[in-house]
Amino acid sequence: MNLGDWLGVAGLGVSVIGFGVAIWQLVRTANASVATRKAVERTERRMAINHLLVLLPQFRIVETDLDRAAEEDDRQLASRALVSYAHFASEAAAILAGQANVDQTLVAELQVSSREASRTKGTLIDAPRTRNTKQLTKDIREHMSGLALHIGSLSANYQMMID
Amino acid sequence: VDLSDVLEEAEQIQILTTLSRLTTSGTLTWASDGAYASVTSGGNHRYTLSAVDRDGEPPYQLTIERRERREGSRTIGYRTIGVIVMRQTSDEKSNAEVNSLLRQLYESAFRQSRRKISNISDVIDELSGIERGDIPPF
Repeated sequence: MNLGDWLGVAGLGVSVIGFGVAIWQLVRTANASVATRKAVERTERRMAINHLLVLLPQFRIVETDLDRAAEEDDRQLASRALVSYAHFASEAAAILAGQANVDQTLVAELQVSSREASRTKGTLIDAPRTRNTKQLTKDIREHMSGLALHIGSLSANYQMMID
Repeated sequence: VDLSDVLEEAEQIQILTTLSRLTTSGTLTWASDGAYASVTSGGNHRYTLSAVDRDGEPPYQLTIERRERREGSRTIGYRTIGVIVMRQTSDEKSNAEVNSLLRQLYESAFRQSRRKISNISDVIDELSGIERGDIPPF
């Protein structure tokens, strides 16, 4: 073999090594982007859980306000509590819908109860005085009581995940 | 500034009744403005009907704005001059007639601004065709 042949063989070796290095870098880049995506997903999930941990305790406050409004026949307070609940339920449903291992029946129940709260609030405006706040809010209060247990256990579960 | 007390009860009723009449006759046309609001204008004023809590349910309110013009005829913006809002019947200032007129007007404007006559006539024509047996029911 002459010098030209040796140079050709050396060039081939350099090319093979170059390809190897390039492939190795591509694999590293792909692994890095998978790791980044996983990190972003973890952060998003953590943020959603933090949001829920702030949101879920509001349920108890709103429920108490609505019960007090019913006892005191206070339509203004009932109206405010129902608007708050409608926002809470729709926001909680939207966040929970994106979470894994969440009972989708609960999500649907929250969405339904949000609409029910808005409709009940609408009827409070000009319902006759002969019907008191307790009667007018009976259905939505029962619906909220039914959801209270689920919301409570959900809150406890997410708290444990964070701890 | 809360402008819901600017208008007298009789003025509120007159404005709402006239707007209802103009809406029913088709003289004023409402356009949708977001999910739960409709807007129309006539002359120097713009009228916006909206759900106070942005949920499509009562209380509803009508906001009346006056067109502001610079020397020429160019509109430079709108200034709110009055608001008519539904009130709880337990409220001293409540007025059942205003509530009822506002509810009817909101519903008429909402329907008018969202319905598409062509779509509705398509549906009715198609159902008639199915009934006559011209179109298969599947």
